[in-house]
Amino acid sequence: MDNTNIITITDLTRIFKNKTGWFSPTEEVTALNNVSLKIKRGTIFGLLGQNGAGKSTTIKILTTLLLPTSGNVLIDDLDVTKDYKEIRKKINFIFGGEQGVYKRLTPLDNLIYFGNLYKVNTHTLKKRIPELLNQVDLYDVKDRLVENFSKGMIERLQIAKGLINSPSILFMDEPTIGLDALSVRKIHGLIKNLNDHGTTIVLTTHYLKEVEELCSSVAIINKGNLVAKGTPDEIIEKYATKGNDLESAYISIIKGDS
Amino acid sequence: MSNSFWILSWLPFKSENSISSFKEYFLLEVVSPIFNLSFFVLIASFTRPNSDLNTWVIGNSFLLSANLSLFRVGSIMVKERYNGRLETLIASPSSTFRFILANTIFPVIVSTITTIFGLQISSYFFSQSIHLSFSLFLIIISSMFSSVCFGLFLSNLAFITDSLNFLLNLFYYILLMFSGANFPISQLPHYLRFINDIIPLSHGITSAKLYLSNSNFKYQLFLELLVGIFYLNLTIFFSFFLEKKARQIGKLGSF
Amino acid sequence: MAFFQSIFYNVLLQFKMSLSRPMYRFTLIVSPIVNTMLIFEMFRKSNVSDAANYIVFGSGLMGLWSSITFSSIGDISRERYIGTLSTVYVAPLNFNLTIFYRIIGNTILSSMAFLISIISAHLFFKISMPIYHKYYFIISFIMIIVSFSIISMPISYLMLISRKSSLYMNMIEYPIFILCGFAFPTNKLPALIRFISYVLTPTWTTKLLHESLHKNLDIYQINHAFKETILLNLIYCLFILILWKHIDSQVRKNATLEVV
Repeated sequence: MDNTNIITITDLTRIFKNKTGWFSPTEEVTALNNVSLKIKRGTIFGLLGQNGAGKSTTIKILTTLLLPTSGNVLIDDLDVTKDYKEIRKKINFIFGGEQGVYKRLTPLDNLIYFGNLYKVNTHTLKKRIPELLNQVDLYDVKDRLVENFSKGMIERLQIAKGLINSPSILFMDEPTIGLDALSVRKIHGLIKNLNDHGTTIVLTTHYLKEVEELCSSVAIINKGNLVAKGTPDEIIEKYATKGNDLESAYISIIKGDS
Repeated sequence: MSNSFWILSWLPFKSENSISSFKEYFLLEVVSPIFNLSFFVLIASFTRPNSDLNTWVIGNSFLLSANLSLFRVGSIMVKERYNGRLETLIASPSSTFRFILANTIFPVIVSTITTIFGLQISSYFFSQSIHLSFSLFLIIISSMFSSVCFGLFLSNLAFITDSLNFLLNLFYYILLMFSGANFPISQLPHYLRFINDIIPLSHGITSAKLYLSNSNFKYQLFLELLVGIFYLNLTIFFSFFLEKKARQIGKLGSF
Repeated sequence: MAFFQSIFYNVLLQFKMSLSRPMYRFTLIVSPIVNTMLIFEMFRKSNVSDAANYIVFGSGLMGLWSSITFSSIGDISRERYIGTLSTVYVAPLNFNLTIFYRIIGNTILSSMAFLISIISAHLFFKISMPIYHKYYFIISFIMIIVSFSIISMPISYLMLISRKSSLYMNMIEYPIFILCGFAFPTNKLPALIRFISYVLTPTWTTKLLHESLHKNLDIYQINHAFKETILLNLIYCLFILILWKHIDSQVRKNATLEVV
């Protein structure tokens, strides 16, 4: 495995300015505070934290949807602030739930559309779309409207959509939220398969068992601060108090920090 | 125009107006606006029994497009945001300009068809003889272009306000009042007449009226096109600016 | 007493719920203002003798009906979308009563559209509306509230059995403006269509209102419009009872209370 860093975050800070009324003073909320992190190429990286901890802000910055207040973020040696157009060609992202696709189109139409949006040429698309549909087990239903799909099927379509431009990095925000056990197993299989083929995956989730199963390294964010990082085993060894699992380590980190 | 451009243009339109709900589409885009048209033409026939109803039929036929160009096109961005697709749109390598331009094609085609259809039906109902010629077609398609561009411009407001529906309704009333479809603009106070100059459809309606009275309609047609190009440029400028602003303040979507 | 207290409380609650929606406030306040302006401009320079009645009360009636379609009828669509319709339907409080309270609340609140039209007409165009026969006017106005409430009931029921209710909500606004003669007399309509007008109560209440505003009352016309209103309302009530039984079974058969 290539041991270089594909993502390098240095002293990343993001402050939001909120105004509740026309005449009320502006309130500053620090969503991320001096976070520094490195993610190795070809790994599955887990980003953990409570609701509102700063995970989504981090993902937004990494996917070029949000600018940092200060600090430096490099993706494949490209700066997210300046080189965002180049970065967009190399990444893709998906998020859990049923949003993000056209429900009144078929999976085939959805992939054609997003393929064109990602400027994938027609020849490549013709080959790639059936491959992806097979990979996510939706080939047989490629001509059915997405509005008739189950949550699990929509999530698999999201994964196909996320892979349409063969990204080097795929960001996944809670990809298994609300899915049944069988669908979760399918998604996990897909993630592992992608990673085996060299895609770096950055995953946020609340399911710690998922992290233990999938991720080779993990970072825990709490109240905008990076409070722990390492492999799941390293974190368990360092922080677990009751059981010998990530859940115990995670609870002790969050409680200890609050 | 590339195949890719047509795909970007057609698929979102197909999704929004899918064949599975043709009845819904027909009722909303054709039948319902024809009721609106009939209402105003009937008032005109009551208040001005000896006048030629052509004026009202033409004006209100043009306004038929408002449902598509204002409410549907105007809510493109808000729907993208609500359905969690705006992030993909922004973070994809395609430019927002391409997306905007792609979104004008089919609404212009469909609203042109709706207007022609409404014009023919209402001419029949109200016994008017309005024949579709190439010039009239040109006036209609130019007006629909400017009307769709105006809708696209309004769609950008989704980035900065949660009350888009309210604003779209307000702009619909502005078109109803100031487009000259239902009463001559000369009846309005002087300080309000400029609104007629800057909104879509108004020059197109004037142009069509001039055409039907065998007068020179080309200058007004040119103005209508100019209004469309103005709003298209404004849309491109605003979408670029608002996307930048949204990245700064972090209010892009529900991600 | 407890029954009236319950009505009062529920109607008040409906006031608050409706007014909390920006679009309802827009429909209730902005629509009558714009309608007054638009209809005034369309009637300007016309030779219609009672133009002021059409401008002021026509706009008021349009505002009233728009607000009703948005609130009383649109509520079904909104509640279905946010997922509360099924809860309201199976709650111990009779569903018909819930709908009835809402409709009464919304109709009373929506009648504010008249006040806004009167104020707009006076403010912008210096149109004053002298009420020569206030008792006739008050009776007409009460009949409007009652009739518009009653006609909203079966329409609300029909919205229950279709998931496309928001579409139909848009579809019933202008046809009522046209058929019930809000801004022009119904004799302007073709004879075949006029027949539909005559079976709609708003047509007769609109006529009653117009007649009650004349300086020289035509008692025969007033009586006729009044009797037609009462008769049609009774028929509607009977129809509501029959319709409800059918709707109640259809709703459970097709499970149309939820979005999917």
